Amino acid sequence: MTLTEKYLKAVAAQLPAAGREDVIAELRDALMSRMEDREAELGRPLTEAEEEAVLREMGHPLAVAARFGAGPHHVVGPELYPWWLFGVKTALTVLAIITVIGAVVRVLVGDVDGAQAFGQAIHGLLWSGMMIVGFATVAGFIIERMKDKPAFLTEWRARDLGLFEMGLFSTAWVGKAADMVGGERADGTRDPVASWGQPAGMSPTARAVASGVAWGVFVLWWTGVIGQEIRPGVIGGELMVDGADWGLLLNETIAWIWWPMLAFGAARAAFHLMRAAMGSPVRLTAFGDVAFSAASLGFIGWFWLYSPMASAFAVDTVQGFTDRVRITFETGDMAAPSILMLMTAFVFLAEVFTLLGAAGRLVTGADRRR
Amino acid sequence: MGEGELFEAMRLELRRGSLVLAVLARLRTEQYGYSLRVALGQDGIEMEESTLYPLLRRLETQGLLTSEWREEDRRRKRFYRLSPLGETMLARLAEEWRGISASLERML
Repeated sequence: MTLTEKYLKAVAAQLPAAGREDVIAELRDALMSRMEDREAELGRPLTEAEEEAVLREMGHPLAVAARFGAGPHHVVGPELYPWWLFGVKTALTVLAIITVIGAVVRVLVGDVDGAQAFGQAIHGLLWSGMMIVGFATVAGFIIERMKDKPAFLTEWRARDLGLFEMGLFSTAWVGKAADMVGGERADGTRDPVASWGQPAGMSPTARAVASGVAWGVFVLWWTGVIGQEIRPGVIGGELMVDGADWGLLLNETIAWIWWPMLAFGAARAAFHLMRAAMGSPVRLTAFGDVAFSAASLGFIGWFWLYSPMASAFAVDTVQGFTDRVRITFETGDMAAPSILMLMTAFVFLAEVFTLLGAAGRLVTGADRRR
Repeated sequence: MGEGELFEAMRLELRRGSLVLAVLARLRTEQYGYSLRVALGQDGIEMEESTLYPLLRRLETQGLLTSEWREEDRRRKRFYRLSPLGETMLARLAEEWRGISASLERML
């Protein structure tokens, strides 16, 4: 086999079957014509080295085949890249938050010491962070190759641009933090971008992407794919409160809700990403919010009334609730059962308000936040 | 990136859009890939084969060119020429090009 035939075979191997022969026949003619011209110049047949030089001028077979191939030649293209980066930043932010909370809880519970928790947190952040970048890249690869691009790419709005100010490593984020603590950054200037307060004014589509990514990270954490050291079953350890083994109760509760919570998280992530792809229509979003808030309320009700944890913190009557709140604030004794009770009550109330707001949007079809 | 490299990158960027116009213009008369490349080179438009051949396929897929395989010099070659749609497109693009060129001339 001549070098040219070898070269053409290498190109052919990378081409789709449809049209392969056609492309190779044309390339063969181009190479032969070139070599004949060169031979005419030299007045003799080409040596193997000269033949190879012509092939090298044509380009590497992989690169040549890629130029004939259909579809994008990038994993994440310039239009998708800002969204990819935003998704990664959001996911890493959520990961950092759950890692820190997990590490702090484990130290407080006492099943690891500070140094161990720090080491585990760094290890977890590194590996889980890499995994998140990998997942986001696979998602980007798929989106780039979709026939119909998602609405957030094709129908973007000026308001969506605010979302690029968000994220773990952006200057706006740093500026925002500086605004919160002292109003000025180290260099004494205010961040003009952050001071517009745009992150709060994210568009519905941007919020949908952020929510979808955040719930995606939650599902990965819940299933133990990321954050192994701080997975739900580990947090809690052997914490004893007033003679009750909270670690055991928490683990029993988690065992009960593991599958429902996984379904809930996955459904929520899928729903938010779907509405991001559809441009986040008001009624669809409201419908999802109503359904998820109702499910959350059901879960909180179960947690309060029937879960294994209920025996450790819940009270049966309104009188019991107010008494405990009063005692907590009078004595300043922030006992764990009281804190958990107040948090559960607060989350319940917040969900009620979310449900009412979403029901309103579902009926009217209008969203004041837009 | 040094000044030379920067210039080369910007020169390529500048040329990229005009290559389509050059190929369409040259294919008013029928050519096969290699002869087209030589003809473009003689007109001062150097084009790598790995750019030219995929471009010809794309333009044909877009309906701007037609092609047929024929034997010439004892070898089968693929001959391209402008389609009626390609002729219309070339006329419109040429007008656009002249407009841009005139504007730039005034500025430069």
